[in-house]
Amino acid sequence: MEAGVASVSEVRTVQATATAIGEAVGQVIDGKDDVIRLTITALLAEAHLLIEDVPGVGKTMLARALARSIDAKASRIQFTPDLLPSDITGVAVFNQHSREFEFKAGGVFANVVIADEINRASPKTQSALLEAMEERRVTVDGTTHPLPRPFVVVATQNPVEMEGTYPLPEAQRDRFGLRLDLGYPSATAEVAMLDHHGEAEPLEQLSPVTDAAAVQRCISVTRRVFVHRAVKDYLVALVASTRDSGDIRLGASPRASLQLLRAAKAQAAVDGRNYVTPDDIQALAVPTLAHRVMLSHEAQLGRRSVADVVEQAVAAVPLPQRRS
Amino acid sequence: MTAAILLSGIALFPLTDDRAYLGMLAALTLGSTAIGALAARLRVPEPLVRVLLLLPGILLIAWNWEGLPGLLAETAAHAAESFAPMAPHDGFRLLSAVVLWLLFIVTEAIAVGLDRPGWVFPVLMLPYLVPAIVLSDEASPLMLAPACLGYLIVLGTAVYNRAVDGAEPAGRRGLARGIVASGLIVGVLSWVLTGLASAVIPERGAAYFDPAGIDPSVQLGDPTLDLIRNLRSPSGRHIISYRSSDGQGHYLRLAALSAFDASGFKLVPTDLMAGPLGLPTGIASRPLIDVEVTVADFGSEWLPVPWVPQAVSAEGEWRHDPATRSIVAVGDNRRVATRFLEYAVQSWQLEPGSEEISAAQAGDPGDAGLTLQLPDELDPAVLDLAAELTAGASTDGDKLLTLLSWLRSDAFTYSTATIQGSTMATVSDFLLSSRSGYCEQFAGSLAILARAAGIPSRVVIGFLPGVATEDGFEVTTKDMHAWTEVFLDPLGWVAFDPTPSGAPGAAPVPTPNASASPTPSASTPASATPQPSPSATSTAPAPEAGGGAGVLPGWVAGVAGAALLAAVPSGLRQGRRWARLRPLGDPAVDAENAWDEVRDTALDLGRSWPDGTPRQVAAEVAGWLDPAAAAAIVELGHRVELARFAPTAGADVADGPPPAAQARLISSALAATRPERSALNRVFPRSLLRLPR
Repeated sequence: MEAGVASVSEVRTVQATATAIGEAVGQVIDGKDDVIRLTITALLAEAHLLIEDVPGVGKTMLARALARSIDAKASRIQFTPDLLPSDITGVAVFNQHSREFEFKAGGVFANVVIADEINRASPKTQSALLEAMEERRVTVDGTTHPLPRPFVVVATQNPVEMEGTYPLPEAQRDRFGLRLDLGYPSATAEVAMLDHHGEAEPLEQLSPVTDAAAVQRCISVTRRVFVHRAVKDYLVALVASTRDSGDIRLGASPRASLQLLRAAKAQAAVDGRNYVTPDDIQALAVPTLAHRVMLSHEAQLGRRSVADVVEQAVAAVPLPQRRS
Repeated sequence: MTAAILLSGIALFPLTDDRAYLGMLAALTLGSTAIGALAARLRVPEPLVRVLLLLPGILLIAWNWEGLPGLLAETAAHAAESFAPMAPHDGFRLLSAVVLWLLFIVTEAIAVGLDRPGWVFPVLMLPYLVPAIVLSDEASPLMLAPACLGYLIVLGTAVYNRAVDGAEPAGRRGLARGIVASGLIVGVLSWVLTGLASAVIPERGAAYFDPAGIDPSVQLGDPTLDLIRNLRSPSGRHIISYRSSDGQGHYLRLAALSAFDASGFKLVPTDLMAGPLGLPTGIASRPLIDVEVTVADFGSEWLPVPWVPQAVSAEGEWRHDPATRSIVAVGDNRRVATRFLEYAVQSWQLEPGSEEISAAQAGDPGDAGLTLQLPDELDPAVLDLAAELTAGASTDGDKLLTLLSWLRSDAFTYSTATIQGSTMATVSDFLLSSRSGYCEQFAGSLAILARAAGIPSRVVIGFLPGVATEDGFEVTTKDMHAWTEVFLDPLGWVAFDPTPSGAPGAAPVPTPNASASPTPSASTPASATPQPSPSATSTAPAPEAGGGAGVLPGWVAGVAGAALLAAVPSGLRQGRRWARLRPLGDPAVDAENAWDEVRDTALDLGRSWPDGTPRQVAAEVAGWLDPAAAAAIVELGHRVELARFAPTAGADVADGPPPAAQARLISSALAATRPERSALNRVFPRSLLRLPR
């Protein structure tokens, strides 16, 4: 075996951890196994997650359940128009006793950062968060403070209420590894939700199934999942196809390729495999690519959804065949 | 590829003296190759490239379009009249170059388009088959060597190209092994097929002559084959002119066929002698004539001479067969030794009158009864016929004259449309029922009847005297002829021509079946004819396959050939299945092979194979199958996924039951879902048409 490639037993550990987290979160979020799975995939890929949906479907609940189940430090920042960048990054405060400036960490110093309704804050404040997401550290007054690991931002964005909001520009969305829609629960799931949430606060009853250090180990295993050259070629061809598509004005960036690869590795590990298959790439193409591309005017006029266009582009890319 | 097809084109060498077709072929193939390279650079789509590759040939044909029909007809005539190797001919050159170039296009499409370089072997063999079938003996197996070399080049190039594409060393070795194996399979298969074909195709009446220790043995060609070809050729072509000292025309004799068995009259192996011919038996005060012969474009190993030859002065190395007094060439180019030859012959004129003949008795030619032999399988009705016809004759000479006049009576019709050859069966049929044939059957009949009457006889192949011109006589291809020689005491070997006069070379004598003669139509059963044979009850002579007859009926060979041909696609498919389900030692390759086999089985059954990753495909196919087979295909799909994408394919894929067993389970489950299969699908499995991506 090539040195560094994750072994089967290592990925089995990741799979077991992921399954435990998924079951824990599933106690709180009913009937959304796919979404939970994607969320865990994002966590293991250390990819920031953008959840876009109407209010009240459990976006915040999902993020909080995730944070709680891994017993990690979670912080929740409610984005409002008057939120300042220093509220996110932290601020240097003069300590009268020590006669020194002390760094008072902001909301971003946590393993799981829930950025609620990110489109409500001013662009300046959004930028502060996005910079921290990208660099995984914060620099205040010339001092650099590393963020704790794992570090995942789960941002929610409300697409219906556009009044007085500052929606993320497409270029900024590129910083998010995955984007997902929660969608309304099915009728049975909604009934189950009423049952659970009627009696007590389920989040209170959720006990952690693992800890941040274990998750960090899982993340390092995930990074060592094997990716065959043919699969990499397929991935690159797939991302490139969004750049060539006539329906897409702006295609996915090379950063998107990298994010897609990481996410695919994470999904393989969650699945208990130490290798990535084209199935992983296909399954993650829409969550990783759809929020980064801009539709052409024709496609917009044709009322086509981004997901449709990306799926179509993906289907056109030939799959890797048997090795000769 | 170009080199391969050029090498395979070398196999046409025995057919023609012209080598220019190779140059033309090289130009055509290089043209196509250049177009292909250009198209690849310009990223022209694959199907369009295939069409573009055809351009050079189309241009060449268009260039010659005006005269094409004429040229083709001329080529056909040239081929029909010429003797291999043919003289250079524009039409034949064009034809061979274009045909070989088409083979190049096919080879290219198979090796590159379909990515199946192993399959081009039969295509490269085709040029060899042409001389092998037309000439049988002249196409030495050595001529296969260039084609094989070409095949190896194709395979080698394929291995190299794939190696360049970055296959891993192990994969490259496996590939090389696979290619060598498939090459071997194809080679052995074609070898077996060739063997089968030669068993099915009638044996050619060739014999080996030993030229008295001077040269290694010389194989002599059967002159009867040229006979029917020349008689059927559309136009007579002038081939021989001669002048005799007595100013008369003479039969020119090539060779004598002394032996007779179920497959007909044949050459006999004998010792060829150098030096002067001995005096012929019983030659008494016969005139000696001098004949000067000039041969045009006619190649033969036999020297045309008037009977009875005594001395020959011709350039080149010539020997004679003491038993038949045939003159045979040895040495270089012996097959075509007579071409453009001028020579002089001195011959006795043995043309006895009918009194002389009727006074003569059967003699002993000193060949231990060879020229009296009749095969045991001969229809007894023929013997009875001979006995009946000769019942009234007192001497052997009289018997002969009776037989001759019976054969020349209008009971017989001359026609070249009948089955060629003078096998025992055809001659029996000719004598007993059809009574329609050409010179070879007339000559064979007289010889058989004479033998039945106890007179040594043999069939002779040669030329009719031809037509007189102001400067001697001219013989054309249409004058080729067969007659009979009979050994009489004291005359020696005397020539008799039983064929109705004027028949050969000219229009056949019109003898309608409704005439007063007792000629039965071919459809009337033999027993019902008013023939002078009381014992011929119901045994119509049929070609007996088991009776040692060397010739299978044409339709049997045809049906066998068609069946063989029809079996080829399903045979290929079976071979592929076998090759895929054979464990190769590499679990990854085994799994992939089993996967391909399942896919092809589904295609053969008329299913469409889903698109997608192994996982997706397995999930969809599992929906068609019973639970056990569904589990097997999911498992097999997982193995294929491991084989393709996992870091340590081998170790992980190896767990579990052998992929071949899984493939068989899935295949039979698939077949159970589609019990009805069209006949066409069985004969031609659809998966053979699947193009690799």
